[in-house]
Amino acid sequence: MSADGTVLAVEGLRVEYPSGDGSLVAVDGIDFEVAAGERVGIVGESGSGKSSAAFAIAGLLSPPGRISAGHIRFEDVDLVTLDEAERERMRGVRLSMVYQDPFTFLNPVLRVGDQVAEVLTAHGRASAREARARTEELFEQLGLTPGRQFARKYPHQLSGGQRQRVVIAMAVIARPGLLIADEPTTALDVTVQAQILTLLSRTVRRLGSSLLLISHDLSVIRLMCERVYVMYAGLFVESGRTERIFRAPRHPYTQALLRASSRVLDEQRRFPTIPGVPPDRRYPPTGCRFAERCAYRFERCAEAPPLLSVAEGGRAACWLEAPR
Amino acid sequence: MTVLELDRVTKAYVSGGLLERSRSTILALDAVSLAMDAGETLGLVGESGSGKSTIARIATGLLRPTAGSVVTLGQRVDGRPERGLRTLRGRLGFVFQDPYASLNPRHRLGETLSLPFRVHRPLDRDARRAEIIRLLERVGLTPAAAFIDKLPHQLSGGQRQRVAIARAIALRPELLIADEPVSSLDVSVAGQILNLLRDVQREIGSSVLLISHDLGLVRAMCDRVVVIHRGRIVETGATEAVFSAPSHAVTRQLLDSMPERLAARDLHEETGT
Repeated sequence: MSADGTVLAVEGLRVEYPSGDGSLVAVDGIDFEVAAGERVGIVGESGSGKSSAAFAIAGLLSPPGRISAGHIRFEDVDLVTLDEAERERMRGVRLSMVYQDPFTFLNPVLRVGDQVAEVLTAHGRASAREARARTEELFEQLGLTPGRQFARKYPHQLSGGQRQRVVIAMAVIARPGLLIADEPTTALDVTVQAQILTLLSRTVRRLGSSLLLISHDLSVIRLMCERVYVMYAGLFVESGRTERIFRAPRHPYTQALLRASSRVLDEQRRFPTIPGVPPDRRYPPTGCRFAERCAYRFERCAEAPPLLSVAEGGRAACWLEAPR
Repeated sequence: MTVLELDRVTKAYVSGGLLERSRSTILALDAVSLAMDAGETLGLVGESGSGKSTIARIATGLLRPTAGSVVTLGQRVDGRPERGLRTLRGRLGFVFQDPYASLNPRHRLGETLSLPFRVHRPLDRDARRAEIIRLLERVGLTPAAAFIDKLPHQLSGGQRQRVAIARAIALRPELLIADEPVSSLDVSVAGQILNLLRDVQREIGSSVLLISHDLGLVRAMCDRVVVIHRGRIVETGATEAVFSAPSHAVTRQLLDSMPERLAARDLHEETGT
């Protein structure tokens, strides 16, 4: 953690996927920070770049994806310029990640207790015996009881919810400063989702870790996060306190997204929608990226809007917020 | 008129192979009885593995029940596979969760959409093409002439689901079965697909059986709802009544688990772990 209590500070982050006919810029320059113990969300639809941002921060981008610009300062170390060996030492220990699909993440031929304990033994952070004891204790705290017997199970013997608990155990066993969770409950039933979200929230709180939650689901973000960044076509379009964004969203995209996800029919008994589709990311418009779908579009939208200050410390990338 | 009637339908699977110590019977459905009226939109809700998709497969003759009777659009479908099932399928339409898996990746859209006609309603080439153009236009894939030669991988998820709807309504089905029709789509696209589904349902006058774990969607779409848990119906009633005053613990738990209804305070505090 730095002197001002910031755990993660991202500046001008760009993530690109080079391809035959030009490069696809998945994340096109985003800035944000996460304070110690804070729970922050990034919400967006598929293709918005939210998962690319998360994977870039976790150092898990798969080639040809690469960070083409920007800095990721984590506990005062710039992860972008860090060499691979240093980053490897940090990964899973100070900074860890939980993914959407726990089954592909777990090794099917190893006992789950050994997989979790290995996080501690791999870098000599604990003896095998100590690691085993801490794993069993953590399993108990996560409701995987009795811990000792549970540790001997294999992934295929577990339900979806149990697997996700094991993945959470693996992510938090070393008491990370930051836990990144990318759609951690999307594949789960609603009752199991409620249990996992509760567990995740209480666990990061008990450990004093910060949480960066990535989700397409506004209701999950609302429940879990104190602050939220709304992402559209590779950029943040709005940020602020979660409560304010849900009560008084400023950006037209945030407003439309909130209406569309409510599943509440409008006066014509229609499901609210956002007309049109997001822009082709290989050829993004030079102006506001949401303009083509926006009901409030005017001349100035041909120019890309910066993030402008709005009420209650929030920001929105919309010319409607510019002083007139 | 009743479009679908299940009477004490049971579906059993025997689990455990030669190497297992004991073989046991698992009841995917346990004496399920339900009836669906013409024009009705009925929601089937339950968690994964509850049996809701099994009901749909049995109702359409894709799966034979172990016991009980099934009458779909006036036809018995619980017996041995018969030729009659083919006629019945021409009166049913299906929309599944993953349009990519349900569309043949090597078939151009024109080919995918011509299949229902070739199987169930003989038309000459020109008439068939005219029908396909009309369908593409109806589901908003315009200009239709530009879409007719496309392959599924050239479409977005929402466009693929539009193709799936076009195929489902090609023969103006009396019963439309939608199994998680928007759960793989983004919210901004999901609304467009749901409006389309409601519009075509109204035009054709189909009854709709909607299978979903999304309670908000079921509340907005369905007249009546059936809650399934471990192969049994635990609650059934008018949608608003069930949502505002659920009588079974399983229904209450499902509703209380919706993120919209969970309270942030309970989530973050250590009490009651």
